[in-house]
Amino acid sequence: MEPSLLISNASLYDRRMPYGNEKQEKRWQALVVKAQSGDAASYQILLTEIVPVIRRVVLRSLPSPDITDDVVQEVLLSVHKALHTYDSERPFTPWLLAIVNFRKTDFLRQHYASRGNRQVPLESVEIPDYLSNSDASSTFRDIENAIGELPEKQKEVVELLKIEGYSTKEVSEKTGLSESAVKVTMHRALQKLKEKLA
Amino acid sequence: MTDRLIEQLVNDLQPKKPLVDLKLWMHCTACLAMVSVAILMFMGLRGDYLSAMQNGALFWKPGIFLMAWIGSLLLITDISRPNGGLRKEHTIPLMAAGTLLIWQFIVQSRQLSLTDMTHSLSDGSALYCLSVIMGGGAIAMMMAWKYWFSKTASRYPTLLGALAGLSAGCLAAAAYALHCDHDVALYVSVYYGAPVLLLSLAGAILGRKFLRW
Repeated sequence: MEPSLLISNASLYDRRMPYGNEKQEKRWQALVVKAQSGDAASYQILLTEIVPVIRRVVLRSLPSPDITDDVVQEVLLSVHKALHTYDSERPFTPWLLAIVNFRKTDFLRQHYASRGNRQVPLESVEIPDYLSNSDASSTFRDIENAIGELPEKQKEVVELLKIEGYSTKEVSEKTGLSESAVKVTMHRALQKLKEKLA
Repeated sequence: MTDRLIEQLVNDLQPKKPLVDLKLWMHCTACLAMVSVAILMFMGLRGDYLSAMQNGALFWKPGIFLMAWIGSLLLITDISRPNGGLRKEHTIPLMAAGTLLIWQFIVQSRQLSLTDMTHSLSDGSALYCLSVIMGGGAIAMMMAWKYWFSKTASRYPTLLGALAGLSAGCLAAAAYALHCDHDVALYVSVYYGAPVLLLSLAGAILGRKFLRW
């Protein structure tokens, strides 16, 4: 979970912006510079606009969506404390995402540390169906095998889209396929899986 | 809840001067100049400065700590912000300082026996060297802490604190090297290295506690 300490020349600042676009980036840069000089209106707009981005990033890795708001608020407080450390020569989004990841990691560390001392009696542990039921277990194995037999590209798209939970746009960026090609590949893969599992 | 927090943060907004790396460099250079002038005024340049210039001791001894000082400042500017990370090329001055010290060990081992080297450690003025570097470094670290480190927001507060101690210790050691006439590499490693390491350790402890944000 800890971010890598040593970075190469192609530093964080040069990475592609995973959220938003160039226009939005420039808008945020302008807003944060105004906020640094004490412009409350710009600051309010900035904070309001970044909340959905923060929420989207943290939601993916939190164990429960109920605690999303807590982490979002922690991040907003950190943005407030560190506002003067933003360098107007550099893009805003990597700066924001670094804070989000830092706070998220902190939060998860505390969350799991507090869970570590909790004792659960063995009798109260619920065993999921797919572990106790041999039929369900073999069904899962069948699905895994069927996915494994798909052509490489289709397998990659199924794994990214349906198992790892990426959006079509993100899969398109990762695989280099167009969004419509991702959808077509997924459709074909599902057809093949249906045939294999019938 | 989040909307209310945004409202509170907006109400709490104060205009703040952005963190500018150049200001840290200017501040630390001014500190180095002040400490050097103070040492030259109150303690004076080493008595054998002419021969020290000829054999290079007047250059390599402060040079080691100047390089380490520059390296630590580069690394400090790397990690002072939330989106910062250490850059490999910024560790070069630190490695160069280490290499220069090792080189001096090799050169001196041809001229001095191991007994001579270890004998230099029992010099009476060692405690004086150690305390001047420690004291000067502590003052420089306090000044830099107030001026820069308290305003940073690093993901690595312990490391940032350690680098604060390292830079302050190296600054004091580089300035003191103009006065001190002990040139044995082992002596420099022990009695200059120890206060620098102690300051780094103190910085790491302080950073862990006070540079969290």
